[in-house]
Amino acid sequence: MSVTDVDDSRAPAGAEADPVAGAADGAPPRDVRPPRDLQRTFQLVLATVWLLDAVLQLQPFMFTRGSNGFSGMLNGFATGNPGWIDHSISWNASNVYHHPILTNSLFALIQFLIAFGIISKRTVKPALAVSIVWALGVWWFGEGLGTVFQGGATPFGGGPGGVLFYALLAVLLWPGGVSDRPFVAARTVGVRAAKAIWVVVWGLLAVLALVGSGRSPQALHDLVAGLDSGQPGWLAHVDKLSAAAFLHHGTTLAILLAVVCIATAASVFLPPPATQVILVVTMAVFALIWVAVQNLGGILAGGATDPNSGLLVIILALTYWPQSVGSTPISAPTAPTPATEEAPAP
Amino acid sequence: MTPTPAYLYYLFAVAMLAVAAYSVALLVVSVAYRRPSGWDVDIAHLAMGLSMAGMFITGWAFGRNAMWQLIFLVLLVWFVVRSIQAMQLFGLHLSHYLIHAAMSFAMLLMYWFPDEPGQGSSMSMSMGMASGGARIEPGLSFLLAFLFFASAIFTLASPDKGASHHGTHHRALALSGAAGGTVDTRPEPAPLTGAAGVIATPWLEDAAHVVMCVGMGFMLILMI
Repeated sequence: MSVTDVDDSRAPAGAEADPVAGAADGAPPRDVRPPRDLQRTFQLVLATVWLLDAVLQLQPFMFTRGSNGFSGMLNGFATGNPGWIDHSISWNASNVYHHPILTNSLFALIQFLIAFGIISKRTVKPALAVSIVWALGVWWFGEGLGTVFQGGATPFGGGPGGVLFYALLAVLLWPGGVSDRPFVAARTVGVRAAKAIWVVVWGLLAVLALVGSGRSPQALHDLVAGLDSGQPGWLAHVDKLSAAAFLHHGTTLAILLAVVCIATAASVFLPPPATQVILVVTMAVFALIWVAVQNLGGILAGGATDPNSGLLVIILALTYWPQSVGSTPISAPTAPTPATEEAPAP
Repeated sequence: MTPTPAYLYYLFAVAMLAVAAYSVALLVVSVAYRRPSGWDVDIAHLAMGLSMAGMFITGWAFGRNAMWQLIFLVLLVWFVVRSIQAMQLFGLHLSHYLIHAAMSFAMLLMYWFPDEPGQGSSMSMSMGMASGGARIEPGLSFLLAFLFFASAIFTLASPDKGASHHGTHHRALALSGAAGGTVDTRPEPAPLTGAAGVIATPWLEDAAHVVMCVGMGFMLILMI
């Protein structure tokens, strides 16, 4: 059963039910429209996340100087990186420190433009292009390259950088392509390229789960233990459970995550039912990580700039959800219909 | 005292007042042309716009908390009832009334759990005086804010302009025999002309809804 748009606003209150009104004479039901194209839907979901990021950028602490402000947050990512990267991040943090209102307003504006640019079919391509450039810039200057060079880019904590998934989704959701692909992510880049991207991404996540401090129980414990400050009570309680689990079974959990990532990488080569089962497990695991480890990016503590990687990984997985070929809706835009009036309240 | 940067809060407050003023114009058009739909949304936007302008800029606030709470409680009940009526008529579907009910609920939450200095954000809001020390559950704030942002994006992208006011609903189980509704066979109402036609442009009605969604989402994020 597909979801369709039906104008139900013109029905008089108390009218008798007639599900196929208008079809009695053989004509199609009036005001029944085909469902929105799935690629377009995912673009709009991505735009929603960009809008969330833009508004998060407007939080008061973002405009504040000092170690508790945005510039202090940026400066914190410089440490541990190679010298020239360290300097570039410090240089950017210094600019933000000296002009917090100007720079932060500009950062927010760019994200608003990306979010609203994706909405219009005329501006979606420039907006996605800007989002790729912006995401890579944020990954460098705002996330310290996801702490990859510090050996702490475990997927539990959002490694190799949540913002990279914005860029990846922008590439995979680039408008165009044919709608008869087996999954949405293959529409534009093609099935082979999409599968290759998938394998590389999940292979990288599997490696990052095991290298550096990714498998260290103490490091994983510290990853969560430092987050509970400012969180609501229920999430602080969850954090304590997560921290204890990492302290006692950190290495085991890291290996399990790597196994899940490898299975997910292989899933695109399996029959669709098997792929769906693995994707459900993957999304459940990353939903758990997003809440219990990443704390929804720290948004509930009032100090976040984005929702971290968990949410984006789930969206990415959904773009690889197997479609039965031919059942996907046509990409052609639906014809606009005039706004309609609603019957008065009874 | 308005937190830094002041321009930002003035910007949002002015935007909220603009939506409120536009809602008054739409209400006038609705009365003058006996338009049967959208007036409830206009009333809601008028109340929300005036109320939220006072949240962004303390000096612009007016009215007692109890008054605002009563207004938003009535609006919440109204939109919930209208949602239920729509579902009774047409089966399970996403009625546009639901988002307006959610927005009325969010406004109620803001008055029930006002922000306080030192808790979460640095916003200083007029209704803070009546606080009992509690705050909105941050998870609920985030959920509502995300919902409003999604509503803003999907409203702008929708080919059904004006649907945020008048409803052209996404209906699950369409064509199902289990539930359905009669589509009115009356002819389409004549389009508005002149100034009324300009005021009641469907995309402008949607724009008002989008501005309200973004403003309310921002306020909820600030109250985390």
